Amino acid sequence: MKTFILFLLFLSLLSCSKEEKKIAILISGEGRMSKVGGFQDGLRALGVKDVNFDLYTGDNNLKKLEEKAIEVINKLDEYNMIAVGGSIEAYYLKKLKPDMKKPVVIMGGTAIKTWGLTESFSKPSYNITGVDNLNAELMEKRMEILHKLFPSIKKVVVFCTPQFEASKVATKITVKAGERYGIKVVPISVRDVLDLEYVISHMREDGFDGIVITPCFYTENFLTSYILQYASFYQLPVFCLSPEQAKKGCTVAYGSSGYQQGYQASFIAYRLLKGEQVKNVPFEKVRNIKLVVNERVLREQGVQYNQIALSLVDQIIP
Amino acid sequence: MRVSLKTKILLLFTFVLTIQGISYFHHFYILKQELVQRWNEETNVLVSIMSDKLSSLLEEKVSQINTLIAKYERLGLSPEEVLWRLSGDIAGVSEGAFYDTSGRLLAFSSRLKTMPEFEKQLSSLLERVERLGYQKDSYGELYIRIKVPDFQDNVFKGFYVVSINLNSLLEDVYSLSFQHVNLYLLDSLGRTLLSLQHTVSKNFLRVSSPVKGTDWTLVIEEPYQTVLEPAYQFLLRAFFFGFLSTLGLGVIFFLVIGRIFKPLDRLKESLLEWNEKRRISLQGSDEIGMLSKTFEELVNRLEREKEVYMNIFNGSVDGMLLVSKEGKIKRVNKSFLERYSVKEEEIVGRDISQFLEHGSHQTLFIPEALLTIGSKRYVVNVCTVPINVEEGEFLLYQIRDLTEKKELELILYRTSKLSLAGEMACCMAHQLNNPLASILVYAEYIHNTVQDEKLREKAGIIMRQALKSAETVKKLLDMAKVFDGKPQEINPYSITREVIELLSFKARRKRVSLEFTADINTHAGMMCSSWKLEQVLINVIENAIDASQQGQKVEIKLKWENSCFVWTVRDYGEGIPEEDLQKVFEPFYTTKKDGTGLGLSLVKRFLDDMNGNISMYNTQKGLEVVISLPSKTQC
Repeated sequence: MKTFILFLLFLSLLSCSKEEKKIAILISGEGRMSKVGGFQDGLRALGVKDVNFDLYTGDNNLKKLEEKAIEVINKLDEYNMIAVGGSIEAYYLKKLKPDMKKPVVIMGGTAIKTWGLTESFSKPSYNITGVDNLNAELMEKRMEILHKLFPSIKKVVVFCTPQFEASKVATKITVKAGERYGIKVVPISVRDVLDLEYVISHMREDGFDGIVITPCFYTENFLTSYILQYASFYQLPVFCLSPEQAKKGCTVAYGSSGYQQGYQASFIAYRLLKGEQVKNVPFEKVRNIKLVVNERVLREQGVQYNQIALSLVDQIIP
Repeated sequence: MRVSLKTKILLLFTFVLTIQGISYFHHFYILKQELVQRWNEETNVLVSIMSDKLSSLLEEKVSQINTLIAKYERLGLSPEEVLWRLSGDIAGVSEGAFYDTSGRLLAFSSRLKTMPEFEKQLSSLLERVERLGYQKDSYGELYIRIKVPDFQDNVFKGFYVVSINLNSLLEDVYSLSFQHVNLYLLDSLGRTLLSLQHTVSKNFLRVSSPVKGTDWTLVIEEPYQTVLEPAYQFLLRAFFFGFLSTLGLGVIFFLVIGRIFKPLDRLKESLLEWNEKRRISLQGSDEIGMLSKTFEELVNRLEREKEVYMNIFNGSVDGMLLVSKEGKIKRVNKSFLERYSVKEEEIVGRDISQFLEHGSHQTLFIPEALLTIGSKRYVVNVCTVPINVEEGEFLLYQIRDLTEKKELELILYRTSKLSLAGEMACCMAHQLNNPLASILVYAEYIHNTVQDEKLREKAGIIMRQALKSAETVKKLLDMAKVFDGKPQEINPYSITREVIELLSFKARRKRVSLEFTADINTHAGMMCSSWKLEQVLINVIENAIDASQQGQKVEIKLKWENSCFVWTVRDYGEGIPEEDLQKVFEPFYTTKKDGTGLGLSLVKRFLDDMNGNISMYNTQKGLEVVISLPSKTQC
């Protein structure tokens, strides 16, 4: 009899328990953490509080990223959703589990179609949706701004990762845009830090006036800090992708911040958590695109720039 | 139809369950109606708020555009720079163009593209804010192009055309709504400009509200199923918890009822089977247990009382019969069985009318009635009392046997007659003794004095007959005596022979032959009064001779059987009517014309005195009389 009453009490307790959402966050490295912050803040701002986040980071290592992706897939049943830091993370998930049942939200991805993550932005496929940060598409605009700000720059180098199709596409756009504005764009692939130092140390001798960062795995992670370090030493202006990079030492940056991308992606996640199907939640273009100039770096490098064009700048970092 | 208490409780439980179920569904129905009504009320308010917000957001954008244009123009920025600043400062604005007063495209700027797509020539040149049209990109995002006239110092300079992302506006509005709703923005023709959320369902609840300052309509719809989800949840939970609680209560109920009914069931079994002495120990210390024990005590007391009644029934000296209303005998006591030498199965189950002539279902007293058991009849008096016992209404027959009393009365009657006969005989004997003495004296004188031989012989006969008569008279006087002397050792064979010899004269005269056969030791003796035995044999054989016709014979047989001497005297006369067979031993009863009716009554009395017995049977031809006498005291 006592057992029976305890059983009833147990059932009543079960019925009272509230379901808690759980989201896995997969990122390639610490460079994506601003996106995670924006994503979490965005969800909180939307009133989604009963969510637990499990963070899986690849520590800037592709092999480890793949391992983490496998780990997430193995625990897929535990999660309501997977948020990924960019296209490469989504790519690994899709590669490992093509018939993904759980919704995947990209907190700012580049060249999404090129990565094969969807066939249509308005009708997402493969259960993947999110925010397109337009980093590849914006390369043309960046070259335009570079030309306006630094009319004297005629030859730049871009670092790319040839094994990634998206990096190649971004490089191609950059090269083509450079041609329009009379800037020679030379893509260079580096294997490691030594390679990078060698290239940057000889850039002046080779007639390069600056560095343009394109979206790729390395530039968005550890390599950027090395590039900025060497560029500062050799006094080469660097055009970066996001305002956060300008704060880290980029001369100029144009694009959307990782935090803004994550924040924008949170609304997509919010809709999905409310039960909407991924195919009905289109990809969104990034909406908050800013031109940021690091005044200190600009002054230190002593690069000639167009004063009038400075009126285009949205934010000047002193 | 009889329904047990347990079934009634079960039916009540089922009834309560049914009521519970009906109330669930009734409440569910009411809840559904209330949910729909509440949804309509709340969502109407919500859509109105959302449309107002959308309208204000749009107005805010236009106002921001106007303000910033004025601001940046005062700073001396070119239209291209102004447009760049607008797209940077205003969320949702990504590109714009500037047209001169005649509507020609002069400048453009975009945050995304180097070459945005704008019309070369404006179609409308009205100097007011206008919506020029919509654009959708590959992401499905909708942009509305707003034309804003540019006045500098009240001088009309041209038009700014700005693309505003409607998705971002609608998303701001959407965050106000609740889960599962579909949000639509319709144009004036009812076409969908933009939609958020696409829940697929057949039935929707729908409310709409116009967006002020535009020709748009904001629509919220939600699947009927989703709106009613709380009702279904209620029904599910109510059913689930109702089922669980009912199950729980049912188990508790079952246990409680079981505790109540188990002792009652055992009590019922006990009561049903108490007749078969199968006692069941009743358990429990609660009220039901106490009740059961009380019942058990009651049953015990009833059983004891029943035992007492049964003892009275069986121990009664009188015969007792328990007879049903239909006249069937249900029970018989031992006294009855013993008294009438019958077995219980021969009585129980039979109809009372088979045994008693009078059968009634009322209190009755019959002083004398005939009870027939087999071929025997008994005189009884009957008293009936109606009684109610557990099986129904019965009549209790108390049967008191009067047969012995009747026999005693008969004997008394017969004795009184014999006593009268004895007195008469004594009187006659005294009266005859003197004449017989005279006859004997004179006969002796004649015999002694007369020379004639024939006369002497006849005088001798007279003298012997007179002596015989005197002897008879003496015997008559003896018969009248209470004590007739001690029994003596006699030889039945010799006595029988003497009697036959004595009667042979009479037999010869009637031409009836006497045949005597003896199947005994001719020297065997017995203890009895020889005179009485002679009188018995004389009377019986004489009667047989009297009953015989000329030429017939009388057979006398003597045999030894069961320690008794048995005489069988058989004649071939007409016999005695069956109905008179019992009367022949009564004094003064006779079938003969000149008979006294004393003979057989004397025979009966003498045999009774000697512990003998006599019986008569009509045979196919004639009568057979069987006399038995014990060799010493009784057979």
